[in-house]
Amino acid sequence: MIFFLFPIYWIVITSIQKKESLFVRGLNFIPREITMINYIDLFTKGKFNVMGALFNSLRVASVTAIICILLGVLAAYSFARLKFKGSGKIFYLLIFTEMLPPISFLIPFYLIFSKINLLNTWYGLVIGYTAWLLPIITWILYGYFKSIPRDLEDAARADGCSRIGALFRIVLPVSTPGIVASGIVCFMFSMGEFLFSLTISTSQKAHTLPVELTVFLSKYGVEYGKITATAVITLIIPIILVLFFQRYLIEGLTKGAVKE
Amino acid sequence: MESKLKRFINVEASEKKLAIFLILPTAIAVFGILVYPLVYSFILSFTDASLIVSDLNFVGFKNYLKAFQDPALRYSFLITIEYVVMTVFTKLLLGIAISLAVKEKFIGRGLVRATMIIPWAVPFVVSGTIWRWMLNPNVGVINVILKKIGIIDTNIGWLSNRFFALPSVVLADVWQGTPFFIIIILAGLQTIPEGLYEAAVVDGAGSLRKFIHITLPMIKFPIFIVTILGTVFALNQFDLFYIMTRGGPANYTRVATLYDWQTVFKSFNTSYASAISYLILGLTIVITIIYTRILAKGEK
Repeated sequence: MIFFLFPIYWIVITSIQKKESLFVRGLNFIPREITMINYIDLFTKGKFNVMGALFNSLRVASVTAIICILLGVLAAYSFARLKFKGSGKIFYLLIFTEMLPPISFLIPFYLIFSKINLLNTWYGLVIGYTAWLLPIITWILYGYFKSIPRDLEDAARADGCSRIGALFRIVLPVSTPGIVASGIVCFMFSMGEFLFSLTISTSQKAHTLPVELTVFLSKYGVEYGKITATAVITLIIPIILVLFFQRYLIEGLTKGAVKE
Repeated sequence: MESKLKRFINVEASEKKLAIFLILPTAIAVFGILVYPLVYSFILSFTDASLIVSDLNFVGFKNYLKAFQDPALRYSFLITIEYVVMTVFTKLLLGIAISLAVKEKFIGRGLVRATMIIPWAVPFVVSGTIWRWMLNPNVGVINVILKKIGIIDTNIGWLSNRFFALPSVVLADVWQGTPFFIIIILAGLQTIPEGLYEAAVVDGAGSLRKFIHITLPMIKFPIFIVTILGTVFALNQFDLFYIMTRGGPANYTRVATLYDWQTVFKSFNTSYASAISYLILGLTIVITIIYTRILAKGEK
């Protein structure tokens, strides 16, 4: 447990120290001086675009999550309850696309995007992330929907509800953990994704948070104070999400994995 | 009687339409967005395209032949496989061990579980940064602690040392990825009915036998899932390597994904890079098939 927590503690501590004191030899588990200067610099100095990057990341992440949940719920419900001849094959095809290395997509996306002017746009990122995340989300929701007993829906339909009505009024409220889990997974992935964003954003204004992090890595050495501060900022949102929603997350994710 | 049948058929047909209709947006989004680039890069791999030259010729399998003869590429696949084996193995062992430990109720279990999940929430780039900082030879905390305990007496340059560079990245990935393994395996463990264990005890089985004959078979599916997912994600790992080593001391950590990226952004050879990416894809598919076969055999 200490193993898991210690690095987090360390990075927070590092980010609140002055640059000079970082390079003092010796062990300080509790820093002698604390300063917020790293954070302040990040937000005020023009060279860094942390605020912009944060905004970009948030925007991309939320839009992606919403789209993925909307589309994923529909598709997952269909796979879970309504079977038709090709549905199994389509399902496996979806899962298969998940295994494709992102590298394969990188070059063509870059070339295509540059031709249709989608480079450096947040919606370009959304397009890429959505296509990538939908299979996983559908799979998670599929597992979740399957684990819900049919009796609930059958009872509703006996009362005159349509399939869609049953979906919205019965299945969805019951699957809140699964939906929340998928949404959070989407969000976390979009906030932390690096390679695609790095390739697509050629101008600093369009950076997402992870890419902005690399601004502090240079040939001359790493600016540890600033980079750890940026890292902490990047960290906060996913960690808070996970801590608050962990029960939902675990329930939503594991229902699919265990049932078979 | 006949009208009931007709109504039944109508319901069937309209349900089928509904089913297709519901899947359509997702299918269009995923396949539509991904298919064209895939085909594009596939075709590209058969040309001599690059970012610097503007004309394009078809060169057949030249890129693939080049790939097979490229010692640097072969080496990078070797490193990739080393990396994948190390991380998946470690995460699996740790995952099972920790899951078993956390399965029982004890005080503070909720807290432990909550903190265990935190590394999973951390984006790769951040873990890469954290670990890079901790492994810093001069002021990194790892060296400081190791020296204090007495395991080493001079600072080790973890990321610049041929033997330690790859394991260091493995360490960062294990830190980050084990929670995922734990979550899934633990869930699997929790579905094993207590009755099975009790019956085994009655039959005189000790802990080890209980583990091998009851626990392991029951979690076969979760293990399969995490192994395959872990392998696929490890094969495609890029972020950690980019942040921590950029290919490491003398290319000792240049995994296939990094090599591919360098081929685009340093050599500007987009066609060769496309070919490489398809080779990586091929490897992923082969491994997936092998895994599925093993699982199928295991079921018998």
